[in-house]
Amino acid sequence: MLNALWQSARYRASSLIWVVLSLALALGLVMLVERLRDGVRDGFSQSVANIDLVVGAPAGDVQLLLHSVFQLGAPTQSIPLARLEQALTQPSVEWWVPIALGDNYRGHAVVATQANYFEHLTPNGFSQGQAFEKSGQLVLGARVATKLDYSLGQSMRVAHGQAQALGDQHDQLTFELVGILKPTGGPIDNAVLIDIADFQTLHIDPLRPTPPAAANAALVGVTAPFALFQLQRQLTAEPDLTATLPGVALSRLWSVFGGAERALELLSLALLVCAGLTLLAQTMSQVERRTREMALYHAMGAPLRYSLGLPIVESASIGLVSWAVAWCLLQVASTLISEWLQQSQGILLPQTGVTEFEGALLVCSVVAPVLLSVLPHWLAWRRSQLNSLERL
Amino acid sequence: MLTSLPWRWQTDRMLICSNLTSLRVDISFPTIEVTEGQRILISGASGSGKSTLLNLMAGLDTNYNGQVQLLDLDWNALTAAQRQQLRADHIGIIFQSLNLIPYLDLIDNVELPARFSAIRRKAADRSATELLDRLGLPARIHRRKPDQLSLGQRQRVAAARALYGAPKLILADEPTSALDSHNAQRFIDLLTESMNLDNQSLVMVTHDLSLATGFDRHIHLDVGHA
Repeated sequence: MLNALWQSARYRASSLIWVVLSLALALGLVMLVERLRDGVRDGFSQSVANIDLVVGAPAGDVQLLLHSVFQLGAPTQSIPLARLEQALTQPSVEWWVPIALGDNYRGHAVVATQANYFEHLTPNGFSQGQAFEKSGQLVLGARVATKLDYSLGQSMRVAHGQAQALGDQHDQLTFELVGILKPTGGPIDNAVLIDIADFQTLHIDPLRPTPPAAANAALVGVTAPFALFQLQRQLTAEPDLTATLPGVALSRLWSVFGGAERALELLSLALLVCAGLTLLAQTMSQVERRTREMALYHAMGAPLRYSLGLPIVESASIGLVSWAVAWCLLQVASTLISEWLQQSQGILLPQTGVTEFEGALLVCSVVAPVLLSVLPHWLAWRRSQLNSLERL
Repeated sequence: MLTSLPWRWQTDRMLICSNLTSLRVDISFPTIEVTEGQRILISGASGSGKSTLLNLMAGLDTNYNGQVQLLDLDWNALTAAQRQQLRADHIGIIFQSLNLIPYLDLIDNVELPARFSAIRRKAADRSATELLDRLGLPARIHRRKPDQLSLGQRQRVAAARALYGAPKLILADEPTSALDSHNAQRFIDLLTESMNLDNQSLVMVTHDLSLATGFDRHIHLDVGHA
């Protein structure tokens, strides 16, 4: 039977190629969209993966998370570092790092923190160099470094404020680039990281008294999961503080994106329906030819499993081959666009083998053609049984 | 899967139709008995039920009263799967129109019956190549696809397929209708020559009475025969 299938496929290869190609394109697009969604999702959840708690001035959960972790939206009020230190010095806190924001280097957010940030919050580590150790050193996220085309040792003048143009001379400090982070797919790829002490220096106004060192938020890791909720309650109870669980805030954020996600899902579904219709059209166009063939096989004494099996196995094979072609196309497309995607969109495409979703798609690619071809071919077989010789 | 059929054939009687009435087209047929190696020509005008009779003989149409027995087995007494197996094992059919599988080459087309019958697989003493040679199709075209052949050549491939694996009974439905008279006679000669080797029986339906020479018996069906 396999030989017959192969001969049949070769005989009408010129039309079959287009069927397979259009199915493969649809399947491949669906796979790509799914991988993109995974990439975006992973990027977001990776960014908060190691953070147990975000502590800041009283504000909304989402606002605090967006600003402190994603450098988006309105800043929350700043809190003196001493106050944070006092509140977070307790046995259930394993580590914490302050985050101060508000400055900008050529359009990239400046994140002021402490050196232990890199210990806890950049699991991918450095592609070059290391963390800053002393005043006047800075670290770049992967995308910033590529975009600016800077390498270690580059000196950079960071200005105070959000303006993209360089500010006044007296508001500037010169930094040396000492480390470049590996891509994470998260917002940190886009950040310029400096020591929070240098951040204070940038903000010194010679005409005014120096305010106490402050931060917008603290990112906290706890010693044990069960300590988390108690710590959160305790910190939120303080009038000048709030503590939020980033996972909870993130899921709230996702519910905002839900509409867009569903739109993508619908699009994928539409593509799959189109693929199914292509398959149905191809099946129906073959049924008449198959009816004659089945009548012939029937007259030659072929059992039902052969007459009916041939077209069904053929349909399943078309689905299988289309899926395989789609998957190969996906690999090629991923390789081609992953660099660009990471650079321009900050999305890391998961470079894995066959994902669970793709596995499920494979099952559908084989089962759906079988279901689509069983009925028309069974009807054709029944027709072929009647008046065999007259039909032939 | 059905592998063994009751083997009750003691006589040399291949096929017998008696008291046969097709319920589908309401035609009754005379008693016809085909013995081993016998050649029977069935003629009649259109509407006389020639093709219906052949369908009944082949077990393709089981909507009848009376008996149609192949090797003493009545088609109506068998299940659908048994009928398929019996036909695959013992009957070779040559169709009126050209019915080769377009995507298989000549050899594969000829060997097709062996896929459905272990008996014919074992009995295939004469290879597809030899049968094609005998029917005047040279070896250089054996790997071609049917659409590269002339009508006459294709009909000879169909004959080789029906003969392959030496089935006991060959049924032919107007096999020469697509051929001119010279080629038709030549086709019949080649067919009967090849059949002599394995002592096969032949029932051929035709409206062309000029082919009747060389047949053991000639049955003419009248329209509305009772």
